Amino acid sequence: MSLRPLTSFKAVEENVCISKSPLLFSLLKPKQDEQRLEILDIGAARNNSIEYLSQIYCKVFISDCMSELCAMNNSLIEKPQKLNRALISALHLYKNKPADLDVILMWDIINYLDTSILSSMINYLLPHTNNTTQLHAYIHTSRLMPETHGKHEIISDQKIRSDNDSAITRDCPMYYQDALNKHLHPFKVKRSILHANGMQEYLFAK
Amino acid sequence: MIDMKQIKENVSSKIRSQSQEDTTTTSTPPVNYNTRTDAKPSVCASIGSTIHIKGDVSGNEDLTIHGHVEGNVNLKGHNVIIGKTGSVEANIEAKHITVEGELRGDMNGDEKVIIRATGNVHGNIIAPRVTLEDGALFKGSIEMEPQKITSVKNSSPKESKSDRISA
Repeated sequence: MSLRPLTSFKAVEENVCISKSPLLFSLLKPKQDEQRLEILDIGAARNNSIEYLSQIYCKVFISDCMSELCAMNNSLIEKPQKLNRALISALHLYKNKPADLDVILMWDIINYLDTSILSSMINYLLPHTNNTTQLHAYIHTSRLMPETHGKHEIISDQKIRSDNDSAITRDCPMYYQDALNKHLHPFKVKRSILHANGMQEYLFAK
Repeated sequence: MIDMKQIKENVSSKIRSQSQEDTTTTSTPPVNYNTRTDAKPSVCASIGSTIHIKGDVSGNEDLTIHGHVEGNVNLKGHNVIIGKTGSVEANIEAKHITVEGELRGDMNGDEKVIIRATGNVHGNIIAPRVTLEDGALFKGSIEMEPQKITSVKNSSPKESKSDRISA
């Protein structure tokens, strides 16, 4: 069965996008039991995001490892120790000092990772999650997407700013729900919204 | 009638007295920063760009680091600045911490931590307010408590606009 793209992507005209992200902001709320919210941001540290998150009692882990993760390829799967070292170096989370993550912000990285690396990363993160951990991501729904991942930050008024300077495009893996459930196991699609810019916003939970 | 000779004499005597004042000012002995007093010194201490320190640094005054420090920096109640040429492998405890250079270690800021555009930090931050300038590199965790932020904001009403933008 051939998959048809839901939307089209114009790389040059749409390199900056400000959009509402209701699913993300449904996660970024103080916990009811007044416990600290633990958030992992795979992307780079951005002042606006930190300013926004400072309003919540939280601990934010900033990995700034999107490029590192994208550079990993399937050949690492045959060398599990090397892969583990690479994931530790990228994500800086240690088994002997586990985090208790409530929210994982994946931004658009899922579109750019080899599927086996994606599954390995989820397995690596599992000891740092709990039963209520939710994973947030954007999935491209067009046939083409920018060559590299974007930069994302939370700006005021519950909005997200996404920058992508790539003028070059590449084929998009166009993940549908079943494929995402498989690659992100044990996380499954909880909710999703299709945005006007061609991004589908997803929430995943166990 | 204007007496030009008298005016010239007045002007030259004034210049002489001014130059005498200047020499007395410059001949004032330098402040001894090694003396520990409760009063805060007006000038902060500085570690030069060619200085390499291995060990803990503690004290009772502000510190600017342009060189290399390995160890812990404990300046509670004071400001620490890591300059552009500064390279620090240490945990830092201070009131205000500003990073323009490189830091590998944790920061515990009583009031605020600022990472400037040239800053590169690998470590964890605990502070009520954290500011990251565009271009700054940061990898680690940040812990912030909104209650502490409110108390800091209330205690410092004369903040600049750029300060208010920060977290």
